[in-house]
Amino acid sequence: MMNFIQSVITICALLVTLPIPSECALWNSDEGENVKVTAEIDLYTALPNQPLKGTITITHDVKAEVNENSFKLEKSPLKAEFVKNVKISPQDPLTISIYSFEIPGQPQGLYVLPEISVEVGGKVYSSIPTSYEVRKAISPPLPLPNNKGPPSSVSLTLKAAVDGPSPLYPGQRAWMVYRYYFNASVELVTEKLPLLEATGFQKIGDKRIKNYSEGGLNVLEVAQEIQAISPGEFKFPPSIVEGYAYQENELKQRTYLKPKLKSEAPGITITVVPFPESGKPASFNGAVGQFTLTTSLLTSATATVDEAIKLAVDISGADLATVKLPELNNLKSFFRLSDLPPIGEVKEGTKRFVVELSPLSTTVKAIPSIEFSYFDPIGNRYSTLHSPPIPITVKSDKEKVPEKQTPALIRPIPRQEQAAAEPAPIQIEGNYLLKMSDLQPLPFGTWSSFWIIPGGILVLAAQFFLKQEMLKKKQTATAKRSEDLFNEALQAPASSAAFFQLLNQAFLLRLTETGHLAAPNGLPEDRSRDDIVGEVRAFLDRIEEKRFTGRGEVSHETIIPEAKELFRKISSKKELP
Amino acid sequence: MVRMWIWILLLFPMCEAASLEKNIPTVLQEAYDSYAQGEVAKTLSERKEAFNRALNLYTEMEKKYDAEYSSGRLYYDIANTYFQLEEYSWAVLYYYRAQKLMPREEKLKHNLTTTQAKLGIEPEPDLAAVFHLLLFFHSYLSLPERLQLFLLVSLCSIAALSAYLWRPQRWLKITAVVFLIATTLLVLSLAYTRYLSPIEGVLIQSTNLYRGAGEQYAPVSEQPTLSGNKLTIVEVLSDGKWLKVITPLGELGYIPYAAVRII
Repeated sequence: MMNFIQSVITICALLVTLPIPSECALWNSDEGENVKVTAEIDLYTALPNQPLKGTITITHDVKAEVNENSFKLEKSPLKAEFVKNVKISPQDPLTISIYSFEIPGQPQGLYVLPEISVEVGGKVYSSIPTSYEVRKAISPPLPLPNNKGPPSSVSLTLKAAVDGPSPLYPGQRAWMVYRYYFNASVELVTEKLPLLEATGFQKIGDKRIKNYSEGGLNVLEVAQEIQAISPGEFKFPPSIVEGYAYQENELKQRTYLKPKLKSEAPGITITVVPFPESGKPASFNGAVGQFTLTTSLLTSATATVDEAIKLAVDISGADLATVKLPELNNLKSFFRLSDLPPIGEVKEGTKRFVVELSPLSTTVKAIPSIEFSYFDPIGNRYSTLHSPPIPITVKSDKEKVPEKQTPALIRPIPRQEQAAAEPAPIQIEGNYLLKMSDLQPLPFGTWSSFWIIPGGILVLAAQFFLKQEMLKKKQTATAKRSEDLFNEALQAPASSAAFFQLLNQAFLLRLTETGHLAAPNGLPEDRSRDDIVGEVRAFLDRIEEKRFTGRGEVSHETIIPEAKELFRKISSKKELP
Repeated sequence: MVRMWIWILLLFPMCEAASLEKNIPTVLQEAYDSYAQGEVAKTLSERKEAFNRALNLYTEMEKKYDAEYSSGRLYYDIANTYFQLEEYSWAVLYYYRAQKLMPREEKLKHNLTTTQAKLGIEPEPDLAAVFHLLLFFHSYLSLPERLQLFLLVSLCSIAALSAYLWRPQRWLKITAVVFLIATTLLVLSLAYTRYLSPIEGVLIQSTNLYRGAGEQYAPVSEQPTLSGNKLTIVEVLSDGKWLKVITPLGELGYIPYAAVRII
């Protein structure tokens, strides 16, 4: 018995970890966080007036910690015990944390487990309320032989099936069913269940899980209801489960038995055939099966113009999932229909649509016949049903309706009088008289203004380089000044004072420009220098000596070649930075 | 002769365009006059006819001109017209569109509040005072106005930097820094608007909020979400047919795309 319960819990826990979207949870996906919280009551232990045990499963990033003290059932604190962590895969950062909890027992009946909230990674997440049933204890499955260990031959068999009509028509529903047959506790390591993914079909609701015994074996049945969407042939590959049988001692330590158990169910092909085009009535809207149609009034058959009359449209039959409200276009000429279309309610094999109709004028005498068409897959033909017209009496608002007196302060105005009625006062400020400029973007009020950034960078860069160029030119102009002076000196008469003065200034400026002197104020007094400054000093001193002592000739022919040579020597000695 | 025809063919589109441009003020005047007629109409049918005529003309202008960066008055006028025709959810949509371009307009806020009251919707609360004060320009100025201000402040920054480049003086440096800070704040505001601000829409028809992207899923609550409500759009699914949204009550769910219009 214990082994059986443990195997059910193991298989159920592993199934929950399958990467299949579940209807029982609300994904809180917000920029990368995938946290999913589900909670359910263990149906097997849901016995009357006994504490109810449940499981909370939290799928979360391994970095987002679960605050175990933050569990709440609705708004009351809930004590939950950690069971285990299961990593989805070594590469995946997601992990599944499983907790168990207990709530007080309840009498037999159907209940709703409210939302359970928990803090994960600093944020609060909640599960969706789910229903559960507390019922009398069912007969436990057949105990395993010995009840202390597994039977001599351990078996695990997987069977796959599709319960429902075949072939399917679009809109029809069926169940994709897996049945696990086993006679020992098994821990599954591989599960490939393509039917539960139901590619190409619409899943309806959550998976249904049942446990029972059959032929001495325990059976776990997992089923998913699906709805066919479009015609085609849908091939599902074989389904595979693998696992190891195990034994558990009193300390809950498991001993795994070899060999590895494996079971494969063959692939399944589901065919969805299209509705035949020939003979398809215009009013056909997807109903498949065999049905009957009745209509009845839920309110009085006497009403005033614009007063709502409720009409019940009842369609009875087997496959009500494919039934939709018939088209009511023929009523629109006589009635105003409500904005929100009615959603049908299914009860005891009948789907009821309650339609609100408001007659448009007093000339309306009956609710016309409603046409409903369906496709019968057994007879492979379409059928059309018509409801009988329902006579009604429509009075204007002046005639009192004895059965239905509405104590309203505002009487509805008949439509034909509405047009001539005085309008209500204006409640809002008036319009602007628009101009062309109101239709066009504001000047520079578009994203093209951002071109100013590269433009501005270019302008600043251009200015920067321009400034650099100007500085260079200024320095170059300054360099020419010494040359200008020198050329001027050469033009002056050889023995004139201007010649010597210009020559002196040219040399001093040149030495300054080339960095030999700090300023063109004069040569240093030190005559022992043997650098270019010394050479210039010696040259100028010789000229001065010849001028003032009269020894030696002072003429262009004698001075200028040496002056030129010396001037050139200064230029080549040290360049301007 | 051939040359004459060539000239005619060249000039004709220009004349056509010029005449269309000339007609627009006439159309705008006609729309305004129709609206004014509706306000003074003596009967309901006259009122509806006048407002419908005004609405047709305004929506024609909306299709022809992209008013997304305009003054917002076209959207305001369309919203008023929808209000007069009692299409309140469409009026709310256009009031929100106009509010993006005319954030300081008091009569727009009044009209929007009046419309929301008609739909039984609570008006949105104002932003927290401190936040509003610190980043006043973000909510006080519309996007086109902020873009204009950004251009102006950038030009001032460039001028100040250029002046500092030629005359490196302290006061020019301070001026350039101040303008650069202002430019940076505006860039951040514009970047937030472009990349980080949530996409919002208005429900134009009441619908259930579903737990999944399909009508077969259970609704989040028994009451449908009513038209006129502003929603935050989180995701688009199923080839654009379903939207994942957050309602003003903070509920997360899915609604069909056709029930929403983006602001």
